Amino acid sequence: MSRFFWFGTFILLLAAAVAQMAATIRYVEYFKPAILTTSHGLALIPLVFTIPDAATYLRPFIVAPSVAVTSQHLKYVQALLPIYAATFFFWFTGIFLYIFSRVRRLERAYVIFCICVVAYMLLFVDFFTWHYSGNFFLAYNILIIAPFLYLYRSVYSLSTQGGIYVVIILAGIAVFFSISIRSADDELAFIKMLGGIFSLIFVYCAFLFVRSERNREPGTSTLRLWANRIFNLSLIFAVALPPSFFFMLYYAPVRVDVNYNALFFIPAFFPIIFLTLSLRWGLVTFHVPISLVAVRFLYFAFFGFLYWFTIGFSLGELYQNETTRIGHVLILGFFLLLIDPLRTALLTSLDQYTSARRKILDSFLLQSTQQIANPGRVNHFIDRLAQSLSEGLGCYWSRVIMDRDLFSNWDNDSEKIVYLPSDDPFWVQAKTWVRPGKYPVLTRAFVGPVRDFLQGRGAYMVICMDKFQAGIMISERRDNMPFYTEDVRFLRQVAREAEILIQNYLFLIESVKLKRRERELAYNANIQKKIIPGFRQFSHFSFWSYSHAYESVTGDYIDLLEISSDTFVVLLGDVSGHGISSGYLVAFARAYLRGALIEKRESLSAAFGALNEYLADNYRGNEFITLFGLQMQFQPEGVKLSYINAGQHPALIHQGEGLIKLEESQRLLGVTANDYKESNIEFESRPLRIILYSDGAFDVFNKSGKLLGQKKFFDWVTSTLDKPAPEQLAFLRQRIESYTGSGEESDDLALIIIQIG
Amino acid sequence: MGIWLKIRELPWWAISLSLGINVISLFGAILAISFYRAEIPLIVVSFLFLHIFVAQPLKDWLIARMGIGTRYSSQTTFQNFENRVSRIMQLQDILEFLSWIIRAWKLTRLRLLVFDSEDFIYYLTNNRRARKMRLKDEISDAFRTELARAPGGRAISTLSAPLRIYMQSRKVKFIVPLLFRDRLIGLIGFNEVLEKNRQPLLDHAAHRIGLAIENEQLERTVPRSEFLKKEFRLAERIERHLSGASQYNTGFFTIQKLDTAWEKKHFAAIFGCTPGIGESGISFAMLLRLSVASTRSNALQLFSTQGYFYALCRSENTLGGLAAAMNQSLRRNENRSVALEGFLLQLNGPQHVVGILAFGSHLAYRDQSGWTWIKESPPLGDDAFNAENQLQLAGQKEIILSMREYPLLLINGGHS
Repeated sequence: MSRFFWFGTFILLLAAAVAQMAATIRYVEYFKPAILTTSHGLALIPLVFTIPDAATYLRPFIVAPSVAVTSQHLKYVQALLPIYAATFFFWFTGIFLYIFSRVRRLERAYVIFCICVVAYMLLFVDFFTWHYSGNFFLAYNILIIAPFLYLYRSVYSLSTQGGIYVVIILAGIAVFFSISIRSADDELAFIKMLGGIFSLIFVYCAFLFVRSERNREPGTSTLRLWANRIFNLSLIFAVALPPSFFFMLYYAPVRVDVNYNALFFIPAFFPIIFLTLSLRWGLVTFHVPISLVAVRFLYFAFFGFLYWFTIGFSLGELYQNETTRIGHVLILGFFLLLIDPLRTALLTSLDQYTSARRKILDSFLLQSTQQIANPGRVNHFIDRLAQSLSEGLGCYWSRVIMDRDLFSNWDNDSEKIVYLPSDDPFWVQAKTWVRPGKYPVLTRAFVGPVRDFLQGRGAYMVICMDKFQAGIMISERRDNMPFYTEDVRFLRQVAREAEILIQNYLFLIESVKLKRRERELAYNANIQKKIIPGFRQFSHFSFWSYSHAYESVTGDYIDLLEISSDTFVVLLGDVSGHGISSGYLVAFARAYLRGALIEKRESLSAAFGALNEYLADNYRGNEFITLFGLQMQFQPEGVKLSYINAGQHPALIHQGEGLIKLEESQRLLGVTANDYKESNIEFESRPLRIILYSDGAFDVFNKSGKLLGQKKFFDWVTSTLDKPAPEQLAFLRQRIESYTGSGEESDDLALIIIQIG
Repeated sequence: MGIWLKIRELPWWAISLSLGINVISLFGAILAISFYRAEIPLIVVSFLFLHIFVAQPLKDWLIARMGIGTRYSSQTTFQNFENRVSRIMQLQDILEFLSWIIRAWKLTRLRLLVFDSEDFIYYLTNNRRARKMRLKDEISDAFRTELARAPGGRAISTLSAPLRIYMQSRKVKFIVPLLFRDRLIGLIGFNEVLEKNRQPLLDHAAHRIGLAIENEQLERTVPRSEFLKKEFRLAERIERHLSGASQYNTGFFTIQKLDTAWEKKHFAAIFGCTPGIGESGISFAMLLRLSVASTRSNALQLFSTQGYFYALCRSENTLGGLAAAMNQSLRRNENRSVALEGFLLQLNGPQHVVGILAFGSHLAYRDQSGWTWIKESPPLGDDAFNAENQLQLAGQKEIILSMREYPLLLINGGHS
């Protein structure tokens, strides 16, 4: 609500100024006055060059037809411009301070003072033109003492003393209603009375000044203190100048001259002094970084106007009147010898300050880069970075603000780090309100969560990073000094460096995790390798197997169980998926089947049924196993094969000529409850070769994405049946791996060859 | 005295210069006015316009550069340089930056060595794209150690004789080692000795380049890392089956996990409960952990243990028989690599008895008489394992089993 009030006031004043300028133009065009006078004819503001010699300030002036405005004359806009220019500086600095500073007592007092002065200027012009506000301007001369005193006391942080302001306002109202101005003499009497009141105020201010200087603790001489002193002196100067000017004009009659209109611009010195003291000596606290270009522009505007009113008016009038020529030359000399050197010194000092600050910041940037090159542990790095930032920028503290999830599982209680949840409104506003890619600067100028966060933390601003929800947060500068855009540039560079370092830390964390996972994989793969039977030889048969994991741990299952001296079980299975999770189920299934078949001597169908039941109950169909179980019972007359194919590929049997496929297949394990039945087949005692394989044997792709396919695999098997079993295994393995190129299968590979007889 | 010094410190040369320009222009204007009095407004306005919008800014610009000329120039140089450096994020940015250096500093050529699993060298010359080659000649460990000893660019005259000769043979006259975390990850070699004022700039860039190379190298592991992350996430899902359900009801007994220790992952233990043979009303439960291990690394062994437990329970009705069969299976099938401590339990419903077989160390149970520490014994899977060392507790309101001082299981029921 208060924001609407203050903004509304400033907008209203601007509208009033524009409306009044329009009214003044109409007034001048209608009445064509040579000099603007009070309602009782006291001359004050000349509008043309050609003023009669007799026309004197604050003396009655009667308009003569001979001084009507002609084309040779100065236009009214130029003549009144010093007043409007001064008004503009008060208006501008007032709203600038309201928007960009932390509005505390002094700032509020200045803003109120600016509003009152702008109103004063408008009433002043109105008093000399249309007179819409009647004699209120005269009473307002008293009323304006109230904001002046409030500002003056605020600089010294003196108590408000509300009674004083009530008295002043009542006095102003009393004057408005009780004193009637009926003649020029009344006006002059009022001016004298005002002079007396202002003198009293001057004495009161001097008393406050002396008292506060005497009460000041020794050794507190800081830049801020000097800023206060200079500001208050300029304040006294500002308040003492108008009455002094009037007294001077009244008691030492001066001929009316357009050139002196430049004096109406003198109040503009006050906001310029105020801003200069604030920017250089920390008189007030800004809550956004200040652009030096903007500061330069402000000086440029101020001195541009000043040149216009001093040099322009003097040059214009130099040859208008012989009697005033010396005066104009003196004004030009004054400008040359005082104003211009002042301006040059001011701007040079600004350059030197900028350059010196940049040098400091650059050296800190070099330091921070060195730190980044050897960062050590994260919290140590952040501590060092925060310290060097605080030193470099001259602020009280600096911290790193980051998303709590950025470094997960990282417990760091460093006070230099502020954690925020990843869905904190702060991040939302930072992302949505600011254009990405520019390392946005978040200050208290924002309305909403950002401002609340900064105020809650007592922070000045946050420079956000682009890639991460993180940023650098800093406090205010020491001695109330403002931050400049140079500081923001420096902070952005540091934020960039910190960002790439955060990236590095994240990569490092991932790399450490990767190594740990690789180690775990290797460990598991090692355990698995130990239990996979490679080559085994028994009196009845020989067994060769090959297993290769797509990842380190295979999801293919190969096992050979010796149930008794003439009964063996061969198992080849494939767990859904591959990698470590499949490896777990392989381990479970292997143990389960070994427990059931070896320890408990259960039948193949009972063991399959129980395993299926367990998997279906516990994994609810999410994990399943295809498994080929082959029991070989060796008898004198041959070998009896009993098998269950739970969703696996058919085993290939070769005896004599051709290949027999054991195609009979049942439901895979782990989907739903099922009774498994063994199929039996007997072979006489002649050489017999059995080949079992997983889908990794043919369900693989080459580099161009072409599938190997079952037919090709069977062709390879058929063409190598006459080779010894180990050679056939090596051939198949080599062919499959070379098909995929560089031996990278797209699935685990398991092959078993059993040679009987 | 202080004020006098302050006044003396004022930029008098700038003030004089400004004054001189103003005097000249003002006198020019006055002269023009005196000659052309009819055109006074035009002359005044023209003068003001030129003075305020042209002469003053020009004067300020001149003063700014003359007054802090050298410093200004070096700062501008640093800023330009820093702007370029700050853009370096990856290898391509480094090459662009070095190409810019060649142009801006008018160098003939430079080379960038990147030490990785395989060492590469990039040749950069003016107006040409960088050429990448495998580093043919091996830079010895001694050379690397010497280069990594100190950061900062240096002329090769400061190097040891062998390294200097090596560099000279390749026409390198100035080197900048690229270090990150005291590790040498690259090297920039120049064919000319650099000016002293450029060396700090180059050192500044070297830090950033080192970091960018390091990041580039680490970034290559990201796909593999992501792949494994996915793998292990799947594995974690399966691993949950190791710790079983939170509660089992056997009809006579209820056995449940005391979740605090389990949830906080203090334990890499497996837990399960399953009925024994037929309709005997006997159930078995296990609470086991590997003596020294983490869940992940030894999950395969834990899954094997779980497999044996569930396979063997189905045809057992005595605790001793189950324990002996498990011990035998582990020893025979797992190459004696699995040693487990914990509890095997028999929940005998018909007789209202809980049989406890504890093995390993740091085990305890609590019944109505309070906590009882169990004497250390050989683990399951060990040759010396004793399957007969059982306790029989009558069913009661509450029996708590603890391992390593964490209460993990609560058994209740079976009491009248």
